[in-house]
Amino acid sequence: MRGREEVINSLKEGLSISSADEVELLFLGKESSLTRYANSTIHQNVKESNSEIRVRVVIGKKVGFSQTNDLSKEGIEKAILDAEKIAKVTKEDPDFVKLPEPEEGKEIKTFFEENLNVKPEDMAEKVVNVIKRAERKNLIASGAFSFDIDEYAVVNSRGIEKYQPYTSFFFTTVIMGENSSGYADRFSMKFSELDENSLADEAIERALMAKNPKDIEPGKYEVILTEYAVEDVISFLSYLGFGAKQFHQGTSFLSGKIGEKIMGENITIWDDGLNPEGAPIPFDFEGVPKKKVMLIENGVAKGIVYDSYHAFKYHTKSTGHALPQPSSFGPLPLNIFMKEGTSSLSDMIKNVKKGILISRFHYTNPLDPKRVIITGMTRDGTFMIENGKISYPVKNMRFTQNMIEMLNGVVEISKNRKKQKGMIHVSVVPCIRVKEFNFTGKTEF
Amino acid sequence: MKDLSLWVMEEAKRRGVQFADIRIIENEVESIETENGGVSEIGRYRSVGFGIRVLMNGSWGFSSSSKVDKHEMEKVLSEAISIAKASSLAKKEDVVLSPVEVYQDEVPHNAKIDPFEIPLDKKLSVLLEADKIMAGVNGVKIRKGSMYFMKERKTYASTEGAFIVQDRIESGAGIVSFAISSDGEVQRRSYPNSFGGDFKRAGWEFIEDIKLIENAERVAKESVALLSAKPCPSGVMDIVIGGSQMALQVHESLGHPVELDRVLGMEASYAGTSFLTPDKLGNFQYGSKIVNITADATIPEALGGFAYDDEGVKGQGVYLVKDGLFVGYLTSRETAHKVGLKPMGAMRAESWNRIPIIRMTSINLEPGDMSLEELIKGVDRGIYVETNKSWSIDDKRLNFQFGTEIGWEIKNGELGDMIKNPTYTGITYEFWRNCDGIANRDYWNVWGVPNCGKGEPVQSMHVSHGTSPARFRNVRVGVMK
Repeated sequence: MRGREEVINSLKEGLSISSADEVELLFLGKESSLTRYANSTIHQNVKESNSEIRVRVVIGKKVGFSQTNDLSKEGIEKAILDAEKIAKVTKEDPDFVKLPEPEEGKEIKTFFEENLNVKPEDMAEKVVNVIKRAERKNLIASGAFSFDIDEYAVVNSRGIEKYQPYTSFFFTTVIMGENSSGYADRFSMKFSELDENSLADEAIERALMAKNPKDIEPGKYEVILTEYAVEDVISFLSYLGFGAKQFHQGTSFLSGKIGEKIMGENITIWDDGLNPEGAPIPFDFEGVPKKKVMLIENGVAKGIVYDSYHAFKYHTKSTGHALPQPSSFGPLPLNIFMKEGTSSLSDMIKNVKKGILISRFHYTNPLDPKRVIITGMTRDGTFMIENGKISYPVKNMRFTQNMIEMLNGVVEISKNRKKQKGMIHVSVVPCIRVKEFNFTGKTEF
Repeated sequence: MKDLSLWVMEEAKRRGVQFADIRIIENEVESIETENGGVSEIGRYRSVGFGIRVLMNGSWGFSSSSKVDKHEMEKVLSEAISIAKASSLAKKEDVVLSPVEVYQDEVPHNAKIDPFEIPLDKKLSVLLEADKIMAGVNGVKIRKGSMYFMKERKTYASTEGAFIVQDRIESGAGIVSFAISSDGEVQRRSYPNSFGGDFKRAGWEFIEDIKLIENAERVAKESVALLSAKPCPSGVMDIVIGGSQMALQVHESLGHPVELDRVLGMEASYAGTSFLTPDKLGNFQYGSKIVNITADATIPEALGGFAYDDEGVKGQGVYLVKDGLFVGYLTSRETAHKVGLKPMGAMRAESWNRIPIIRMTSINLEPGDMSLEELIKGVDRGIYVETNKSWSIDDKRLNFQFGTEIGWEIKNGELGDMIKNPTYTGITYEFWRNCDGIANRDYWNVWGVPNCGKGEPVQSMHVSHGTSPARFRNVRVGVMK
C-alpha cells in the first residue's frame, strides 16, 4: 500500500509532464488475497500486488487514452506520451466539452487499519471452520474468501485531487451433498465482522433441505426469490438500462419512459454511493462526488446515472457514476438499493398455495436486452411450496422471463435486506414473492 | 529476465519448496473503438509483472507483483511460501504433479505484419469507412467498430529446469449495426462474429483478410430487415447452425465440461462441475458417430494455440470425442495425476497476476463431408441460425439455451423467410447424438473467442474453436416469450 502522499505526489508529477490541453490521471492500486477451497480443502491461494495509472489527455476536442503499471517516472512519462500521440491522430469528438471541475464531496471512512493485520493463516482458519461445520453433516465445502486493499486516486488539470483507500472482504461458500447443494455469501469491510459459522450454517441448511430433488414440469409458477436471485435481476437492470449511454441511444428499457409507470407500485430502486449500508465510495473514477439517484420510484421510471461526458453531451450534471475511462458501457450505478417491504421469507412461504422457492440463479444472460428478457438456470436449492410450506426440493430448471413484467407482479417484499456483491457493483436487496414466473426447461439434477 | 527468473528458482529450491515456477509477462494492448462516425476509444495499455507459484507442505501458494526486480521477487517468493503453508492448514492429501518433459526453448510470434507498426490512421480509416457504409443504410441507428491488437513476451522458468520464452501477437476486429424501430425494438447484426468480431494469433494480415468494409452494407441491411422479420417459430424441429454459433455450442457444451478441474469439483463454488465424470471416460456416447472433437494447441494462428502452456507442457492435439465417444479431458499436471492420465498441456493464466488453471486450447469440431446446401436440403421443416446473441447452460453443462442474431426458416429443403430472435435449447448429449450432418473443410474456420471466463479471481482467457455449420434433428426451438 502506497498511501495518500506518495500516490497524489506521483500523479501530480505526471500532470506536470504533459503538454496537452487537459490531463486526467486515475490511480488504481490493489493488494488482493484470495483463498479458494473445494472438496473441503484449500486448492488455490493467491496474492496480487498491482498498481496502475490510467491516462486521459485532451488536445482540443481530441482525446487519447493509455494505461501502465510501470509507476516509475519513466513509465508514467511513457504512458502520457502514448496518450498524447493517440490524441494527435484521433478524430475530434464534438461532444467532448471538458474534464470535470473540482467539487466538494462528503468524507467517508472506507479503510479499516485493523484489517492490515489479517494474514493468510487467519483467512485459512475461517475457511477451515466452514469446512469442519460442513464435514460434521457429511457435506463437502467449497468457496472463496477474498481480501482486497484498494487505493483509488484521481487528479486532473482542472484541479481535482482525490484519494480514497478501501478494505473489503467477500466470503462465499457452496456446500454440497450427494445430490444437493446450498449457497451463502457475506460481504464486509471489516474482518472482525465476518461470521463464517453463520455463513456455513446458512448453506448447510439449504444443502440438507435440497437433498433428493424431484423432477417437475416447467411452466408458469408463483415464485419466491431470495436476495441472491434478486441481486442477479438488479444487476441486469443496472447494466442494461440505468446508464446514460444505453438510455440516450435507445437501447435501455427506460429509453423514452421517464415519468411512466413501468413496474409495480411497490418497486423502488435507487443508487446511493454515500450510504454506509452499502459499499460507499465518495467519488467516481473521474473524481466527481457521488450523488443519490432515484432510478425507479413506486414503479415509475425516475432517472438514470451520468458521467461527465454524457452529462455535457445531454446538458445535465454528472451524478458521479463514471467508470474508469474509456468505458464502452458509459456510466453505471455501483451502489444499488431496492426498497424493503414489510414481510419476511417465512411469511412469504406461508402465503404461497403452490409455488417455487428459488435460492439462486446460475449463468443468466439476456436474450433481449431492451426488454430485459433473461434466461438462466436455478442452482443451489430449488423447492416446491404447497399450502404454505416447503414440501420438497425440485431439480434445477431453466427460466426465460421478462424481468420488467416480473417486477410488475411482485406481491410481497421482505423487510430484511442483504448486502450483495455483484460483478462490479454492490446492492442491498430484499427477498420478493412474484405471482408468475416462466420456467421453460429442466435439467437432470 | 532470464537471470532474475533463474535466480529466484534457485532461491526457491534453497528454501526447500517441492516445486516452484515463475512467469514474467510483458504485455501491450492497443484498442480502437468507433461509434456512429466518431472515435470512442484509442488506447495503448501496458502491463508488466511476475507471478511465483510454489508447492510446499503438499499445498499451493501463489503471489505476484508488478514490480519486476530482485528485491520484490524475494518478497513475493516469501509470500508464496507462507501462503502455501497456510493452504496446508486445510489439506486432505498432498498435491502431486505428473512428471513431464522439461524444455528450454524460445518461440517467436507468428505474425507476418506487426500490427503495432501499422499507423493508427490506417486502422481508423478501415473502421470509419465501414461505419460510413453502415450509416448509408436507411434505418440503422447505431454503428460500432473495433480493433484489438496484443503483443506479449512470456518468460517461464521452473525449479525442474524449464526455461521458455514465448512471444505472441494477436489481432482482432469486428463491426456491428443496430436498428431500432419506432416502438423501441432493437435488432443487431455483427460481422464477422458478435462480441468484438473474430480474433487470431496473427498480425495485420488477418485484419485485411476479414474484409470489414466489404461486409458493412450487408450486416447493416440485415439489422434493419430483422425489425420486420417473422418471429422465430416455436416447436421441435430440425436446425442447421452456422459456423460461428457452432463455435459457442462446442465451447459451452463440450469445452467446459471436459475441463478436468471442473470434473473433480475444483470449480464447484463458481462455474460448477460437469456431467462428464471420470467413470464415463471411454464409454459414454457423447454424440452421434460423425462427431469428432479435438483439443489442439498446435493449429497455426488459432487464438487458443501456443507452443507451451503455463506449466511448461508442450502444446499438443488430442481427441476429446472420437466417433461420438467421450475419450479425453483437458488436464493439468495436478489433475492428470489424480485420474492417472498424461498431462496434455491446458494450463494457462490470464496474466502474470493470476494462477494458471485448466483452460480450453483450440477445441474443434472436425469437419464433415457435406456442403451447407446439402445440410439445408435435408430439412423438411426447420430453421437455419447464425451469430451468437446469448448463451446459458446449467452448472453441470447439461441444459443449454442459445439465442442468435438472425435465422431463416427452412421449408422443404430450402431457405425461406428471415426470422428474428431465434432461440434453441436442449440437453447436451441428446443434442449431439442428434447431429447428422457437418459441413466440410471449405466451411471450416477457427473462431477466436477472447472472453472465456473462469476461476476466482475471474480470469478471461483467449481460446478458439474450429467449426463448420452442422445439422441437428428434433431440437426445441423458439422459447422466448
